[in-house]
Amino acid sequence: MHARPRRTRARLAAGAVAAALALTACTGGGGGGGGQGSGAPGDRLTDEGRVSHLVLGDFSGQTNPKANYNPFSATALGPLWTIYDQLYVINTYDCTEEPQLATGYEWTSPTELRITTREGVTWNDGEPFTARDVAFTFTLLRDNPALDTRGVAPGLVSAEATSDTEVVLTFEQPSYSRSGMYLQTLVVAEHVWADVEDPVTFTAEDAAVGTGAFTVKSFNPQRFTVERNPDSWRADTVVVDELWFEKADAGGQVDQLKLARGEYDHNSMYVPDIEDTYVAKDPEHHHYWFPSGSPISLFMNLEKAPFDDVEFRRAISVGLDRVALTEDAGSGYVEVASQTLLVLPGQADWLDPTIPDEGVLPYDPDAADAALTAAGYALDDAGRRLGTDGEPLRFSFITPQGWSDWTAAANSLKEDFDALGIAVTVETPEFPTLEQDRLVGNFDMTFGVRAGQCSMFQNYDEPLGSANTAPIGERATTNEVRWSDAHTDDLLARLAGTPDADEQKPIVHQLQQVMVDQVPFIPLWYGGKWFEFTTKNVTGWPSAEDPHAGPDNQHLIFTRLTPVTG
Amino acid sequence: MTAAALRPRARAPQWFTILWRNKKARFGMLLLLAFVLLALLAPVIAPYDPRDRSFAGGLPPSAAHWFGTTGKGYDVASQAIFGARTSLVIGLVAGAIATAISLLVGMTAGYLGGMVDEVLSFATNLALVVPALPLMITLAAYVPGGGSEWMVIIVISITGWAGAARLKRAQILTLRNREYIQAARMAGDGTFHVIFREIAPNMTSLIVVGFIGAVGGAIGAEAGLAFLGIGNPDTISWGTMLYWANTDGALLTGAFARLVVPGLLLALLTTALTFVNFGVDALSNPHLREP
Amino acid sequence: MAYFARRIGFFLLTLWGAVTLNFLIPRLSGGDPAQAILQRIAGKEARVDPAQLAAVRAMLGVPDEPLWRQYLDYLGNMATGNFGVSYTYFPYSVSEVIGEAVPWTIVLVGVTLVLSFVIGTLLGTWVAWRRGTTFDSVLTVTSAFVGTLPFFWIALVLIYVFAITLGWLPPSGGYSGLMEPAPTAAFVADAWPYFILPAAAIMITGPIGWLLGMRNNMVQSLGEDFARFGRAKGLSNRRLAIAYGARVAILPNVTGFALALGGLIGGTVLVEQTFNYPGTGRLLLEAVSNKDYPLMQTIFLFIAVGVLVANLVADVLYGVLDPRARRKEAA
Repeated sequence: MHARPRRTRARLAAGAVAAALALTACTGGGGGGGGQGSGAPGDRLTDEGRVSHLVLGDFSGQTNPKANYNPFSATALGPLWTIYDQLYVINTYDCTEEPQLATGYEWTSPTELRITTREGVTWNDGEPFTARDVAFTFTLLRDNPALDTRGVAPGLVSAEATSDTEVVLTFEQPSYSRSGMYLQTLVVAEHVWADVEDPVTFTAEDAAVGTGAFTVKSFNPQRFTVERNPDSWRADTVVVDELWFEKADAGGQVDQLKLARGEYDHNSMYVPDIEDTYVAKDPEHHHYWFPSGSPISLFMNLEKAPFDDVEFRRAISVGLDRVALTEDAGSGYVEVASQTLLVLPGQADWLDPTIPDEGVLPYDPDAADAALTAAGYALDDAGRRLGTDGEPLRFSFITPQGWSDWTAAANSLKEDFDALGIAVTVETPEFPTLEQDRLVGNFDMTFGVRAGQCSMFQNYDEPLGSANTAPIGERATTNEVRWSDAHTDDLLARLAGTPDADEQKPIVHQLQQVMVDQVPFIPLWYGGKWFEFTTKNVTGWPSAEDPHAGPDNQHLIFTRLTPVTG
Repeated sequence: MTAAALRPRARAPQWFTILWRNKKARFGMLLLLAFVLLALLAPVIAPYDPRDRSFAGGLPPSAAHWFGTTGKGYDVASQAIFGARTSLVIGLVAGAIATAISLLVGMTAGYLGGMVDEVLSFATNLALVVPALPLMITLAAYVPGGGSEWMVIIVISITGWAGAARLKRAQILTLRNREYIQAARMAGDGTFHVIFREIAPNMTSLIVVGFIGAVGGAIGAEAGLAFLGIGNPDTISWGTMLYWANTDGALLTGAFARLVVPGLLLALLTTALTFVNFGVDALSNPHLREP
Repeated sequence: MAYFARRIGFFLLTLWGAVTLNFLIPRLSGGDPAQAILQRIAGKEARVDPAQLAAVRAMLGVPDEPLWRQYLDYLGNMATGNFGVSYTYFPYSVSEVIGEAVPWTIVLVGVTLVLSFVIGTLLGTWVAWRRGTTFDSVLTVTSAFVGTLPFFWIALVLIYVFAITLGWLPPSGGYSGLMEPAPTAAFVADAWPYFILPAAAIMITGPIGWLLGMRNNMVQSLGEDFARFGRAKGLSNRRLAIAYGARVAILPNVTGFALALGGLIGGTVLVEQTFNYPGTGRLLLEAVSNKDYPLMQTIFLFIAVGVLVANLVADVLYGVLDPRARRKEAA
């Protein structure tokens, strides 16, 4: 991944900058996280052959975080993966499944899922973990909709433990397509949660009981510390004694500085000009890997003319300079997206081989111009593109206030539309306002993020399923462009009806055909998953050379590290 | 000295001489003129189109690029020169609107007193207790045409008049009982006449100082809003230049010019306004005139 | 007595107006707090699951009732001090969240505001009296220039020089995180270095407004008839400056100071934001951007009460300091 080299730039300043920062690296350390510095390789090795601690990035979206260890809460701390485990981990890079608290699962019918749980696991308070905890967790989510912030429970009829090691989930309707959701549920302890009066407001502040590889050591709004759980079922894979999560600054500058100084062992932040600002500071140890995430798409309101005209949409789809977008919006870190809606190359297995160029559309403004004219959208004498009603085309493009990369992308698209004679004004309302407008269909054009998950059904159903849309003025759930098509719905129904990937593939191919032929919306570029790491204290981080886990698979990453012995 | 002698109109030919004699005011006016010329002649002075991004990103200052280029490959100097336009236009328009509102509200309330004062003071106090920055942020989201210069002007004007109105009311409270004002009222002069002919000239200093302050404030507010990323970061202004410098990590790459240039230009423009202000004192107070 | 009743009635009326505005303005722009929070958690380029939205809305208790109903509830809650639960910090209460932030702001903004006012007003008086001298020119010219530097710009330069390049002081935050915040000497020692840069950033420009304001007013009042009359009567210059000039000239400054003091709880949003200082200003910005109505409303309420009380105090001070205004009030 990320095979394409960074765009070439003259970097006359690089030398001087490196020298300046080398200087600051020596004098620095007076501030930030208490001056832990970066030290030499092997400095943090303990007598047991482990690493004393790793320093990691932010742990909460709050500016002055409060302790909340309730894994289901929308306002929970970020790194609760340290404390709680899932049944399975799904590798977000290659979509493989890794067993955790479960050792196996089977769909015994379209509405029944049997899960075998791991033996010999204990909670960090010493109590044994059993299948009953799993059943309890699912029942808890079903009975407390406000707790179900991941949307696990809809359609769940019951969760019963048939023995200490087996739990059976039953559903109202065939639920193959949602199996990833069930398998990735974080499991909590029945002996703790059964006595909680209101699980929705429960923060587990006094004792966060989990089966995870780490336990809470200390918390304050500036730093969250967890320590290795020696009794964890996979303690032998954890080679780090403590993880220190440090609160990020709002602007990101200070974090960038700490990163450049090597004070973070790993972080997931956007860094401008990373080769200069990070890698060049310590080329031997500083690395990054920015694999592609969900595609960011151009949403056009299909209820409005001329967006309801497939010819218009097709013409536009080749009139957009996506490469310029990746420069404007992604600092050149991101890749051009495929019209198939797949995240390539990670999901290349699913690609319909008959689609040319893997569905990556060319930038051909002349072809777009010709196609628009042919479809009845001619230019007038002033060079303005006219609608079928004879009026010049004029649209607004809304993008959230303060999301500067998206604003840059919107302005880049505006230039593309200008070149086609279509007037576009970029507006930047606040995000919640925009989101509301997008959901109720009160927009001409905007950006949207859909797909990019391991469930193909979800990827295509959310933006294209007619069940997920609503008339203009009412809130759509996920189909904001308002695509409503019987053929698509039929394909989605068939896709939901089979757990077998080989049976799913031809259906997914046809859905890709819909995306390419009908252009319900236009994927533009893949969002980047930022992942920076240093190999000074530990090695084994996933990388472009060794993509063994996605950047967001912390459960996997932190059990696959190797200490550097110096 | 009579009230009539204090009317600015009476010594209209003089006001410029008086301002000009004041060294600070002279410096301020010249500096201001320089900025106006910079804004008007931007296409002539600027070496490049401010939206031309065909250059390599992150270049250091050189003969070709006086202040280097931004991370996205814009010429910093050209952006700084064109940025003068945004700051001047927004500053003057928003400053004028805010001053007009504050004059109307403050003077009417202070002079008339009674119910009118109660109602206007109520509005003023209301506008004062709603914190400006969050109000700006919220208004910025609500005022249509999100991100346009007009939105910024409207937001700044709406949030910027109350403090000045209160000060003007306060000042007028001390003026309205003066003998010559009383005399004018006794003589049967109309309210409008008294306010704008008798009282206003004695408040020239405060009004002009208020206006200049409002212009400066508006320029600063525009920069602050742009710096916070509110509005359209694609506008070319000193505030957005600072915003991008901050977002692109210019401090970390050592592109210090990107921070220094727009910041100093902002400060110099506002300084020019302030210095003109110093001369204004001399207008309303002959004893302060420099020989 | 009637005077006080009127004042208090006016106070309550303004408070009601402010509280109503605080309710309405954030809601004008619409939008869903649950959505704002969810997207913040998920990261902007992440896909948001619709089921999540419903759950978060249920969890936060985002009201679905008509606006007027919400408004009545809101008035009742504000009046009884029941500020509710913050959306951003759910399930922690608004009082708890604000309580943690307030001391930081009071220390930072309070200390720098008082210092700025005292230094600025004294210097302004002095400069006005010495107007026309080199000292006047140098000081006013310098401060006029420094005073126009954008605050966040000063902050960035300070961070660049003292934190990034020299490494003498921490670039951001309120304390190191090595120990929990507590009112102990050890914690104060830990937090102290974090206080210096934000305070310095405020103090560089802080006194200037007071200084120039005082100088301008003073110069003006010294030119007025009564001052010249006093001079003719043979009053000493110093006496004249204090008894006449400063006493009248300080009025606008006092008003300004009262207002600034009242607005203290709102903090200096830009300072706190630039330095990630854990005070109420940053909290307010966070509440606004998250559409955290309960948190936003409460901070607004405190600001409104603060400013209104400050106004009341300013009015009283007016009467004490300017006999003419008092006569007018009495009339």
